[in-house]
Amino acid sequence: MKRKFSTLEPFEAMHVAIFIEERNARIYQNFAQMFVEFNDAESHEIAASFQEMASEERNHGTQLQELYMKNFGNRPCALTDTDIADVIEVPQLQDGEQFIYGGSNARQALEVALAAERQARTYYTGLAALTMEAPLRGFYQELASLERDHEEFLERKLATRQPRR
Amino acid sequence: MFRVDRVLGLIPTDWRLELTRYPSVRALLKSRWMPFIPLVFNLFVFTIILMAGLTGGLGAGNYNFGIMVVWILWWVVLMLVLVPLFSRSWCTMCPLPLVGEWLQRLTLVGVRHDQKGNKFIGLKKRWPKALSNMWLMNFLFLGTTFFSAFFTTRPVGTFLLLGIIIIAAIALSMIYHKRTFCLYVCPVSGFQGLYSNFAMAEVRVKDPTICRDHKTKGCVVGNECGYGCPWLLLPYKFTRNTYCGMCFECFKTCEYDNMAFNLRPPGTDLLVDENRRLDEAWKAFIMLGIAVNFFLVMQGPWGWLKDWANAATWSGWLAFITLHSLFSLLVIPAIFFAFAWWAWRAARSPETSLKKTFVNFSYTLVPLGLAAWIAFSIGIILPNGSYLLHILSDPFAWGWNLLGTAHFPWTPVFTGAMPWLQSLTMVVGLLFSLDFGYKLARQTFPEATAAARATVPLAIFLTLSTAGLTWLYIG
Repeated sequence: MKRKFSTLEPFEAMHVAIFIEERNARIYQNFAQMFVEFNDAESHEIAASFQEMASEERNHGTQLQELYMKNFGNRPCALTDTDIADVIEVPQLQDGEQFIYGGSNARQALEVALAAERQARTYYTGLAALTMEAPLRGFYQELASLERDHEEFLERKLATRQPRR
Repeated sequence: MFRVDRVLGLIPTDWRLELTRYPSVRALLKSRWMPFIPLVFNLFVFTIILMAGLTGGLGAGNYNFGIMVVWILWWVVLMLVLVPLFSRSWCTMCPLPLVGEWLQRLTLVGVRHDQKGNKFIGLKKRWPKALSNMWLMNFLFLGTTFFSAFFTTRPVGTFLLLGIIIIAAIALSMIYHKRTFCLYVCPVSGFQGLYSNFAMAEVRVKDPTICRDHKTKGCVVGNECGYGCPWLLLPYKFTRNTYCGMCFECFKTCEYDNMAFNLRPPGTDLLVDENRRLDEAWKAFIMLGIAVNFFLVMQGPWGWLKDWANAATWSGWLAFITLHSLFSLLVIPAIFFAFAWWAWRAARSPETSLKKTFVNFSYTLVPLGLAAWIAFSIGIILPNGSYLLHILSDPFAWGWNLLGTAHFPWTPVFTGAMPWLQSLTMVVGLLFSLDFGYKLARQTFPEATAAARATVPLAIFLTLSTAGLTWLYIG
């Protein structure tokens, strides 16, 4: 039986958040793999963008691990992202025919990531607003703030690229 | 009849029968011998076709294995059975891109895979974006019909056509990645893709949430069990048959057995409100135009038109290709545009653009066009099918009698029933077109009353087209 994220104890929520970042790193790695198969400059550029996102997500995971250690020490926890019913920050290529029309570009890669980060920030912000318990609310706000940093990072990168025609 | 959630008011649009729930079917589709074995069988048949085409030269086509198997048997089976029932199942067993794919993979059956992913040879380029659509296939297919009289009556014509396709497929497979040839170049691929939206079978994901949570996506990037989708789809996400070549690699790569082969009501992909495009609309117009022109040339009573198509004179042939192209590329779309404009005006729905109305409504020509081609195919197989008995016994016209049927006389069968069968086919096609026409109108216009008003001009166009085609076939 999967659990709702809002029912988790603070240490469980942080543990799951670490796994979400690691999961996303693997998903971005996988996206990069989809594009790197094509032997052309644009595909390699898109792959590089996804590789960069994978690396960013790993960094976030490390930051969260440090937070976990600071707050909960070596407290064991077995929960991971797969034990949660909610969909949080899953980057998705939405169009099943995306590669057919050759429409993918590096900007779209960043937009995929941005949509996931926004969804995560909205989710954590919503949880914080609903949470009465101060430490847990603070923790959710911290997660939302982290996601806001990621959003800004992606928005800065997007600003350097031409909008999609 | 006009219920948006039921096909012809009878079958729920979301009804599915998953054939892969039967272990033997799933085991078959997961095996690497599928589709290898049917492919090798067809490679053998096509080798005989090519040999018969070469040895037959410029001789009469009706006693040539290549001509009869390709243009009578294959075409009729494709239009009557494979596309309407099983989608792109011909692509599953098509031998034309086979050599190119084997060269890319450097293996016949197995999978070459390492830590970096599936291994291929060749330049693995991406097809140019400007050509990443059906336009090239539209023009190539129309172009091949300019020579239809040559291909369908001269064995060497069929040899040359198939030879050119095979060489092009091999050359492109060495430059571009995966099934680029099938996706963007093969003249036969485009109409199969469009008409497969009407098919009664599909490959789809069973449970999308499993795919959402799956991180490695072997169906896209491949793994040691199979290749990432050769047709460049995201198998965990695609929603229409148009570009699914039914190679079943996703059944082999999926770690969760989450792919399904389903039977379904006809035409449900026509309701997928994604990626509807002008190139696909024109494919529908071109197919309708070719159906009319082929009938006039091959089964019509006008000898002068046959002479034009046969290139008896240069001026006649140029007149044929000019009129044929104008009719398919401009006249039919222009007439359809007039009715789409009328529908758009009648709807009085400013938030919907005329272009959207035109493109969405063009998908009603899928059931109608397919019915026209089925009726055309009935007109080919019943009078001419008996030739097949002859050529199966003597494929190279060398005086063989392998099956004892080499001297079977030309015997048209059930030709008395032909007009009835063709009329019935056209009426069924019209019913589906009207049904999907209303459903598409409901998708196009937010208000039900606007959709109903827009359906009237569309229904008039579809009914007049059906009446015209039926008159052509049986008149």
